Formats: sequence, structure tokens, C-alpha cells
Amino acid sequence: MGQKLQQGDRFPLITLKLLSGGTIKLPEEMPSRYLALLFYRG
Amino acid sequence: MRQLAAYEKQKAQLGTMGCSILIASVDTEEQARKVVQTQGLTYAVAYGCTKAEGDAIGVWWGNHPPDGEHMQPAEFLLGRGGAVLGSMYASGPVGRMAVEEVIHSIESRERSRLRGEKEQQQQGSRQP
Repeated sequence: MGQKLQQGDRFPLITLKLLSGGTIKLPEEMPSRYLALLFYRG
Repeated sequence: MRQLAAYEKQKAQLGTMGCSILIASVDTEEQARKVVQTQGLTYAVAYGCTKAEGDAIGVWWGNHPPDGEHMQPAEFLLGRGGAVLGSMYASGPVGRMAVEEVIHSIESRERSRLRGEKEQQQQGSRQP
């Protein structure tokens, strides 16, 4: 378990596979001014 | 799963505020597609998250034998450049980042931003 992120931190570099095809590289490829990013249990 | 439905319900309003939605889990592609189908989701969905990715963002992990390990919920509101504006970590079913809180937070930030821009314009127009 890594360090928790808090307000003011920069989101770490991760690449997520999208169901729509392709990937999204965060935080480089923010799709909009704000992003609600939810990691759910599955 | 109620959380996913709540965000779906407010997707249009979030969109008008410049906020998109992305959800992710350790689910396989097939499992994630099933979630999309059963919940009627129209926003972006990612699948196949790894423990390394979970560690990078500090999530807690759960284990449900024989199904295996999974991420416990972690939710973020990100701003420009990936700045963390809010974060929520859960170790089980209690605790989530309510979509109403996200809307309120963005409204508040936008009000502050517009106020700052207006003050800058006024200062600029006062200079000779």
C-alpha cells in the first residue's frame, strides 16, 4: 500500500485501459478541466 | 454500485461544469462490460487495474477468496494538471465521495476563480 494522496498533491502517472479502446495516461491526458476519478471495488 | 448510478444521474450537470467521469477497477474487460450493462453507464470505464497502480495511489486492498484480490474504493476529484482537489479512501462499504459534494466543490472553486479574474480586470483597467 503506497502513500495516500491529499489535496494539493499531483496525481501520479498511471495508464488505464479503457473499455472504449485505447488507454488514458493520467494526469497528462486530463479529458476536461475537472475529473471525477472513481476506483471501485469491482 | 449505487455510487456509480449516482454519478451517471448527474453526468450532464457535471459536464456543463467541465467535469468528466472515469471509473476503474481490477475487473477484467468482460466483468467491466457487465457492470456497464447492468448499471446503464455512459461515462468512461477502465479495467484491469494492477496492484502496482493501486499502490501508486495508496488504495487499500481487499481479498475475497476464491475470487481474489481487489481494490477498496478510492475516489478523487482532479483539477488542471492532475492536481488533487479532493480524495477519499475507504476500507469497505462505508464512505464515498458523494456526487453532490463534487458539484458543490467545483461550484465553489469556479466562483473563486471568476472573482479573481474580475478583480484582475478591474485592477488592469485602473492602471494609466
